[in-house]
Amino acid sequence: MEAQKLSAVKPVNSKKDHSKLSKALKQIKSEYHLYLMFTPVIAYYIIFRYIPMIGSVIIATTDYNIYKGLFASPFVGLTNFKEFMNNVYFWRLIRNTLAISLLDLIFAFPAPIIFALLLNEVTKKRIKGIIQTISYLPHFISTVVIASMIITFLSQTGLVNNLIAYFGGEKIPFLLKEEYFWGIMTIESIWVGMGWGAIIYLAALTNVNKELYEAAYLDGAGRLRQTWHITIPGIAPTIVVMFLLKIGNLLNVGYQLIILIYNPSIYSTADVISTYVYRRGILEASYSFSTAVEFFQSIIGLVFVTVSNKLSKKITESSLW
Amino acid sequence: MKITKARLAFNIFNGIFMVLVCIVTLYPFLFVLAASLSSPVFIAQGRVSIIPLGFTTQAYKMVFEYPMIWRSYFNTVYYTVFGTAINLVLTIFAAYPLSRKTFIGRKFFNMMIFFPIIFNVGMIPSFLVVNTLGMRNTVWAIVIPGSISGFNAIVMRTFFESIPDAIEESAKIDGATHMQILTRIILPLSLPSISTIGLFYAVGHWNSFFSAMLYLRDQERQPIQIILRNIVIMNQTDTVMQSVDNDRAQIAESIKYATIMVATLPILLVYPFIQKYFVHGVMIGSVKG
Amino acid sequence: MTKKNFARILSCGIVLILILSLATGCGKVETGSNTTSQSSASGSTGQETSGNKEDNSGKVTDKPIEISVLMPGRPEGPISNDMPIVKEIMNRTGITFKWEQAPSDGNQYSEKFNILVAGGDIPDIMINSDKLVIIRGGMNGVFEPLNDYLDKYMPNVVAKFEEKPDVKKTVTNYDGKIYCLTRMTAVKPANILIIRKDWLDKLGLEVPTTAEEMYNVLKAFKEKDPNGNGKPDEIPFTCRGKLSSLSPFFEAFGIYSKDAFFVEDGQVKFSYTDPRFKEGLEYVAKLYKEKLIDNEYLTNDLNIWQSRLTTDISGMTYDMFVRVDYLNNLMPEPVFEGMIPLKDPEGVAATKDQQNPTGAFAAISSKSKYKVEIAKFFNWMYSEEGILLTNFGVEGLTYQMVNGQPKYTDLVMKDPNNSALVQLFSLGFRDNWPYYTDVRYENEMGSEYQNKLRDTIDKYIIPKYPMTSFTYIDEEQKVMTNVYTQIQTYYEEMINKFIMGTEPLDKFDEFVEKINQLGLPEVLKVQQAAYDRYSSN
Repeated sequence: MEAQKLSAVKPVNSKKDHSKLSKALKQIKSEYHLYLMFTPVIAYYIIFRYIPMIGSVIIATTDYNIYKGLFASPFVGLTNFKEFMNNVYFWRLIRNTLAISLLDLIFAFPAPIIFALLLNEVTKKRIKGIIQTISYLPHFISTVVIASMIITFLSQTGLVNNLIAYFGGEKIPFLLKEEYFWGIMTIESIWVGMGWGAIIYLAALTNVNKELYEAAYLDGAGRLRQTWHITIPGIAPTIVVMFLLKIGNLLNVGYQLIILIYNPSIYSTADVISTYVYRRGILEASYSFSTAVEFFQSIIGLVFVTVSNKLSKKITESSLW
Repeated sequence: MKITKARLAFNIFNGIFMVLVCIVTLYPFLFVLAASLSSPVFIAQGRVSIIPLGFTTQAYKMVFEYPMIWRSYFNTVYYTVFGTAINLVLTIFAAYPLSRKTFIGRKFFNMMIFFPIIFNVGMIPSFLVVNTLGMRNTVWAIVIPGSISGFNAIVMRTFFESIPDAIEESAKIDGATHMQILTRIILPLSLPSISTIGLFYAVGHWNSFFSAMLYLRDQERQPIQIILRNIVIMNQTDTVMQSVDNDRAQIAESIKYATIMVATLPILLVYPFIQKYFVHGVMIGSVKG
Repeated sequence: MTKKNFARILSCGIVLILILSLATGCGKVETGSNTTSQSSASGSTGQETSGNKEDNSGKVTDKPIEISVLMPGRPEGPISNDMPIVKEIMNRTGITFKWEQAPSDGNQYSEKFNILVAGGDIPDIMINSDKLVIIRGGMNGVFEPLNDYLDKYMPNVVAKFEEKPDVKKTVTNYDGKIYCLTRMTAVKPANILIIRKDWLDKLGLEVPTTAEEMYNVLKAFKEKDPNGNGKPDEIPFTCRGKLSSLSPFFEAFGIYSKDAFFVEDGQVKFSYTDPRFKEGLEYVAKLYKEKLIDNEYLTNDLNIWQSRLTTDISGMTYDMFVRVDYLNNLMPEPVFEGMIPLKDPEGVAATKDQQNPTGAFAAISSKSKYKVEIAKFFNWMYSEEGILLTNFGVEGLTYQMVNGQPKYTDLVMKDPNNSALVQLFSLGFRDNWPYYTDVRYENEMGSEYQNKLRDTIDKYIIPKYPMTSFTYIDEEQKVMTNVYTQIQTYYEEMINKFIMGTEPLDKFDEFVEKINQLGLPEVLKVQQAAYDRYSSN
């Protein structure tokens, strides 16, 4: 080995770049399967993701007219963005969007993880499977039906208020009070997302080395310590990646559910970026404005994710890139 | 293993928790099921909860008499199976190289995959690309544009990365190519993650209607979600168009719920079948040393 | 299953699927379904369908032609050339239709419309409920101006324009060109007050005609236990249309709250800053506070609304007049009746609530090869037999002539599962064509009571603000979408808060001030210009 290494040492005065490039080419040649299989992936991304992105940039910076098309609509630069940022409700919309997103991150993000861990402690496989199947059912029910259920549950004659009255409390018009909306959104997110979200973590759990548990048991560690020292580090990469992906979408709170359960009296907490854009779209369908707003949301998301990614690299070993 | 007191207490707590979770998550499903089997009058009165009132299978009869229903089912199954197969192949082709430390340009390509997750494709530019490629009104328009989900690729990559390097190295020493490493070692060890990602893609296909709505012209090619969406949003009050006919053309409520069941039930049953792949994948024996 | 086998099966599966897809999926790039070409073969020879005498007056072409159409979808099912009514139209006219698959949801339909335009190959006929989109298309040369075609090929339509000048005004752009045609609706009434007559009788009350009488009746409903169960669980008035459902109460004070603007002495004014509106607000806030109107009016959906009305919780509502029959059919016997509008401050019973005089707007692609034929087709829809077909369908199948009047057959009216209109839709009837709605159709669709009610209400209807008929110049449109959306968000929020008492009414002047700050004067200028343009048409 040693002798081979010595003779492989290159003379000092050869150009660094040249050797780096040829080294790289040699590498590629020896592992060419890798690059071959990745080629269709690159093609896909260029054709179906990045080229359309250029189109979106055009739409966001012009007064896009579907009849004139992408290349003949008048260029307006940053006007669409300015219109959004000068909107009298700009800060409120951002605040509401962020609030719902952050609460989701704090409460609805850990829920599937904890559920997966607890489910993992269920020993009988069949029961575990049944519980899991039931838990993800809400994911498949249309948003329309979920919204209708929320409205019915929270109405004066609904289940929640009936329970409150039964225990002697005063009924609350939940959907008419600003302070409850964020909580309602968070609870809905857990209700609908916990079971389905746990699937990934359950899959990650199967990758944790079983023997480590046995070794820890022999060392006298109880289940809780085992979880803390083995399980969680074992699925940490998955958790980190999911977390980072979620942060990237921080401003992307969708309108589909909110549109169905909000009303003007709680706009101050319920009106988010996407719902405002939706209402504006009723007056005039304008791709320019909505695309510009989406860009804005994406840029902010990108900033958050880049920062988080760097932090994550330092603290844990996982990152997105 | 002796069961300690603490463990027993935990088991009881866990049991109660799981029962509560099941009740809460089972409710919407039971409600839809009950409503689909109830008489419309009781549904209108708001009395139906988890038990059907005025039991009738009329709604299901009518859903199955819907023109093209069997055709839509077939289309959906076809798009789902075909689409998921393509998804998996391409996603594996994306995730595997990215999980190899020797892959040149790894950081750059990771960013390439991540970026579009945040910067979504616009509908019109997407359509123009698909149109230009002549894929409109074909199955390719359904299956190709979304064939790699950045999210899924990154998750799969993370799973691949968790397989110990030692296995790959010992295979390399034996002279294996990457293709062989991938198919003979990595994939078999990654059954849980492939099943998971496959499930995600399959559900995505099953529930999708947007691509079909945009790209497919013919009735014969429509998937079942097109039908579902049309019926389920029917009662949304449309205040823009003050059309008396919107209020006049009433379908029985029960049909709405029966449609949901018919369109959703098949995919619900897929997961229990792939659950058996969720076994411990890493064979520890091969890693020692 | 060993890992090796799994991998093998997986790769075999992929290969199999790829082969299957090549066999079935490939090569179907061309559009047009098989069934369409089959029916075009039978349709173009002018064969009869069900006992009609051979009628060539509708023929727009000698050789068979295919016309592509984009029309909003129906939840009951997609339109197809196999449907009897569609077949009949094709027989009479010689046209074969090629239908572009379309969703029924408004938003999705807009997307579909837009991408078809963006994609470049536009169907011959495009229909949209948003007039401004069509107008813009016309002004950009994508849709054909129809003025000449009207003069040359559409005398029937021109005749009906004389009868319904509002419709003509609506489709005429500010540049004088007409870029689309539309359906002419037959009746005006839309929403009315609906009340439990039996509750009134039980409590010995008269139908209220003024705001004060209304208050007393609602109070009685609340306190005198009309549902007879001994519990004070009544919610006298309920609704499902949020603020717009409260408009009858505001109208009693002289402001139609569904219209943000109104015209007085030729001047466009803003409804919500008017002192009369404030009076209405005080009244409605009082009703809310005393729980005489549903305190959940902002969150009720269809389900809750109909539940309250059919389980004896509520005794009054404000909704589409066709809901009278609807509600009565859900009760053991008919107990709901319609009310004439409340009297305004001058003592005149009147309402501005009415249907739009138009339906969806249909435009012809400027690149179509069949512009003349389509114009003739539209014209035929306004002929006597065209009106019969578009309203009633196929003689013998969907309607019969009884004493010279068309009556729907049992196939339409007596289906055990579907309402009459749903049946018609599934047979190929579409209300999206730019046709002429015959009042006899409206009559057939309702009970005798409901029709009489409708005609009674019709007399009380006065003109509303014609905002949906306006056309805007681009700069004006920008003001509306930018400035007005902000104003709209603000007043929606504040008005509801005033009603609910979350915001005290002494803050009303601040509210007015803020709206002016947000740019109301600019918006009023735009509206005034649009209104002046509209009235001078």
